[in-house]
Amino acid sequence: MTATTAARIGSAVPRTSDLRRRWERFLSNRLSVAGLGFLVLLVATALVGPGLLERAFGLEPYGLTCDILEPPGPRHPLGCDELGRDVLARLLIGGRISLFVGILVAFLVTVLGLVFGAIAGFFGGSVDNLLMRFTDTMLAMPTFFIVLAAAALLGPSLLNTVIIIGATHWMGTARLIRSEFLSLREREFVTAARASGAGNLRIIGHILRNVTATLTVAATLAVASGVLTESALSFLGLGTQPPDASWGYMLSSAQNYIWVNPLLGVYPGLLVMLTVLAVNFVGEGIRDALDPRLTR
Amino acid sequence: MNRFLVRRVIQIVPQLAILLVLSFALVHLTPGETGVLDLESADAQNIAALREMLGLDRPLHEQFADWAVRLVRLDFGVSFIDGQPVMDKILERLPPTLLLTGTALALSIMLAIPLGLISALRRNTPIDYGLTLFAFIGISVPAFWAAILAIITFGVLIPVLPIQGMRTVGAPVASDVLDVAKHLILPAGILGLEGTAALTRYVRSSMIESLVEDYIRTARSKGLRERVIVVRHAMKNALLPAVTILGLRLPMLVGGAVLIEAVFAWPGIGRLGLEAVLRRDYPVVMGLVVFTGVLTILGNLLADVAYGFLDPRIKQEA
Amino acid sequence: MGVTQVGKEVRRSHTISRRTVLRGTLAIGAAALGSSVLQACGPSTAPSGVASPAGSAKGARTPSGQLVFASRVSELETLHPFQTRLARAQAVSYHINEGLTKLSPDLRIVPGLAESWKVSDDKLTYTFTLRKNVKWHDGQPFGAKDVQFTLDAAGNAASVSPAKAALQTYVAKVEAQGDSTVVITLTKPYSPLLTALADQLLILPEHILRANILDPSFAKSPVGTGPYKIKDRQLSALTLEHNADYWGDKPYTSRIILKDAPEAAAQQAGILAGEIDVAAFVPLSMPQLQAQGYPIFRGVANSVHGINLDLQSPALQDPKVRQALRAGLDRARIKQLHYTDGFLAHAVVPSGFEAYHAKELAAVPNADAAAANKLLDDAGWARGADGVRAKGGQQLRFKHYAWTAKQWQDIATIAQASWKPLGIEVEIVVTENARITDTVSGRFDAAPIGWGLTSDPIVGLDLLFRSSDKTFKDGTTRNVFRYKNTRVDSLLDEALASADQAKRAENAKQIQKIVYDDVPFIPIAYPSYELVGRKGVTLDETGKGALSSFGVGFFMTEWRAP
Repeated sequence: MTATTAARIGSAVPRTSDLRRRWERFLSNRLSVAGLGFLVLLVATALVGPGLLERAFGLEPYGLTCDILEPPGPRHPLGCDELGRDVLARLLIGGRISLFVGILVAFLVTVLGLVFGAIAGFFGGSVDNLLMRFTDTMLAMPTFFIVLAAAALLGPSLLNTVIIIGATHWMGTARLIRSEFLSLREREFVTAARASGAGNLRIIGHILRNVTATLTVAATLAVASGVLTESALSFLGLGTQPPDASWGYMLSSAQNYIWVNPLLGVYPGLLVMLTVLAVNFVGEGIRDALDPRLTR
Repeated sequence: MNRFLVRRVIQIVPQLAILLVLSFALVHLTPGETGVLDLESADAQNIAALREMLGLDRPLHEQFADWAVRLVRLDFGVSFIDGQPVMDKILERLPPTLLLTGTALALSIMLAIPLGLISALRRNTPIDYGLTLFAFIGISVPAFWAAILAIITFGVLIPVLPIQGMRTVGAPVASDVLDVAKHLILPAGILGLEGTAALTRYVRSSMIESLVEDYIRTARSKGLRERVIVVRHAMKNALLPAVTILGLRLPMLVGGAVLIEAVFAWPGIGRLGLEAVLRRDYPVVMGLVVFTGVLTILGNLLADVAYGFLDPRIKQEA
Repeated sequence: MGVTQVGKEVRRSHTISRRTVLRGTLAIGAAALGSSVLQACGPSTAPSGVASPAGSAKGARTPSGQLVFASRVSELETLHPFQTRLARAQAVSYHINEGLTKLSPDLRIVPGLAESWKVSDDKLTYTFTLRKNVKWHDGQPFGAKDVQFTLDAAGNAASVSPAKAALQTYVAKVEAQGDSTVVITLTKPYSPLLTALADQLLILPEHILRANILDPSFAKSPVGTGPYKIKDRQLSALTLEHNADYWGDKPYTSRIILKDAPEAAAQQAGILAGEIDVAAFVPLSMPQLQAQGYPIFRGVANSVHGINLDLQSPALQDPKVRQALRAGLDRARIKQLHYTDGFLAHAVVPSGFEAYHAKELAAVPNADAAAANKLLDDAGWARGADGVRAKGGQQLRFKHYAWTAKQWQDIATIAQASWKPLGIEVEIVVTENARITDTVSGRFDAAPIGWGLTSDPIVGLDLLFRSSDKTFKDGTTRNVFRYKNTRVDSLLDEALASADQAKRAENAKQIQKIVYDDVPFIPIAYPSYELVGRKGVTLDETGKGALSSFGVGFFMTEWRAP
């Protein structure tokens, strides 16, 4: 695998700043709009939902407010988990953690990918070679296994989870950014800037402005992989720790009780799926809105 | 081509070096080190053996050099837990993993190329939307969740398929192939569908890209029939993503699918790794990272060579 | 045998490492030195030189049928008795290789490869008379040379045997006299010797391992003298076949298959699908399983699970606080979740020890927030602005440890949720199983653990509650609480010195009462380990004691296929 592949796959370069046209194009993609709507709803619920639920209905995610595996009823619309905690409240607070991890991971992935990709792509030559060999090697490692080992060795915690997932998922972004830089640094505006005596930093700044679209798409998709990886890690007991809830952790607990109450294992999985799906739709919408080739 | 090959082969040397450093760092730079090993996971003798194997009292660079030299001799050390050579443990688990991931991969490729093609050719039709939705759902479903749902469905509600392990215990050897195949259906199916989803999108976008390429336009303007264009020109390009995805999935191919293997009790490398991690069996952890890393690097080399044959443009850029 | 620490093991695996049992035994050995009264109780003082009760029943059983046990086959990759470190592997190994002595299914020491033995008056010389006409699985004759070979190898400098340290400390020499006599000479009396011979020093075939004691092919497929031999090994299953030439009681079942099924939920699926015959299950599914007519197997409730408190922890020094913690804890919830069929605990000595168990303490309130709040209010712990109680600058905040297995995390989580409304703030710290010993040997505030009392409760109480400055780690005490009470010490001394069962039981109850008031430990439940079987599977009555202590697969000889 070489960087060429990445370059061929995703190059979404905005050549104008006609944001409105792009927004309209985004809006024309119904799935993306639905995804965005879902995400907005999800973030809003994750932020204010738990508080509202507690104030209005006395449902809170940590208290032993009902019987063990109490079935759904008027007090507990989705029933209770194996400790006797309200499932709805836990799903909401779990969403907060899952989204929080996803967004932080995306941030870390974007920063790391940008730094590696920009340096490699801008300077090229042996710097590029070294960084890309490093990137390729990271890609060759069994990522999820490394994530597991690192989580176990560092000890599971929310922060460690974010760092570990981020540190093992930046490579794709780095290669994308690199290829953008490789092509952009030969463009007229760069040549012009150079001719007018601009320093490297300024030129990088110029190029950066032109890769924001690519970065946005990459960051969006990183949220998805962050949410998925966190759930997998928590499922294996190496992510979120009690008494916190994340969807993956809830799935892992529910797995033991699939015989008693299979629904417990359905809700959190469904939410992970819908969230990742929504994020992917939004990412796709942004990509379509920004991809110049579709305008041909 | 030759120059490209030579350069590409030379490139794996620094890659291997980086791989060794990273795997070494994974175990050595994490806090806690061997102090966490207590009587249950490793007793005094094991700790002594570990200290000797890692040479923990000596400077880091010496430790690293020693360890690297042993690796070159294929000496991965012995497991803390049962004293068996790490290499033996890995090789023993390799066939089940290759069977599982290989089947899944084959399934993905066989499904994804036609689906991706159809999607691209019927762009923006209900078929395309349907396939797109399928692909997105496939990418978004956590595989382990799908696995649990499959266990509930096919193991309990409609108990038609075995849900655990690779063989029926005590079954006659004669039915072995069929038996393993039955056990393979759920794990390989789920793993395969997950891969299909991603690959379908890949093939689709790559086909769309090549359908608008200049040479296709040329072919079209020459009045070639659409079918000929697709088969002769565009299809060739669609093979590229297959090779690409093969490369991307290589770590999984040899590294196993940790979650799927865990849920279905598949006796592969993924489970070996998970158990080693949970028991702090450091020699196995380090051995596995290096082993799968090396195989993946070599696999990527092969993929690139294949790429070079399929796509002549690659030479200039690589 | 005293107290074993069961916190190490995953509850759903239902197993306790035999090595932790031995560590308990070792500690008792130390406690028993100079206290000849103890002769009356522990298995280590089983009468010497009696003919084998096991041998007498030879031929009574005709092995037949096949049983599939849920297991973790990856843990069984080596079955070399020197290398097994995990409980399940040790349990399997015990059926293949045997010691000079054996543990009977009801956990007494009985003759094994030695049909009898004599102990000298100074307790320094053990003379074993070996069983004749015993054959290795490969047909070669077993003899004194094998015993000498094994004990020498286990004790030498390069040994990896778990008994190495004990052998090096206590054993002066091992001498084979002729073909069927072995004399072991000790440097100082060592009462756990007979137990160690039963479960740690399993005898190895000299004719196979002479050249390389750790022969890898032997580790995969060991040759022993035991009731089962290895028939077939696959990555997901290990098949054992009964040894037709076995010298002792034949097993009921002729073929045992240990099938890989790591998760409890999957094990249950295996039972329902008919793929597995004996497995663990999630306690909450018991009503369902019972309703469907699956037999449930229970062991004797001879251990107590609960929360250890560190009495030197600044927040936990006030006994009223500890009493409030106990009163407020929703123990019934924990019991329902993880110990369905066990008994809600109140006294430290489990209900399985009827004579010693302090029934009268049974009225501990459960999740009684009012009582807990009153205790704290009366003791002067007032709620601060943040809702957390404090007194004299000390807030009621502390750490509650939990281990990798879900069971312990659930205990910690329920404790945290039960105590928070009382104004007590708990931080849960999850630590891997490997660190349990380290953790409870140091400062830990609160940590859940199970204590198994496998035979004499007085020895168990002595290990747990005798004032001590030692740590858990050095193996001579289980007093992780750093509990000091001279009254308890003198009650223990009296009981240890007495052969009068009534007196000992009385003292045990008094100790439980004192400990109940001081609360170094919050008992939660007396688990009675439960397994589910396919319809028609049965377990011999004598195997149930072992089920409690050793879990799935132990004493496989006692299970009967339909």
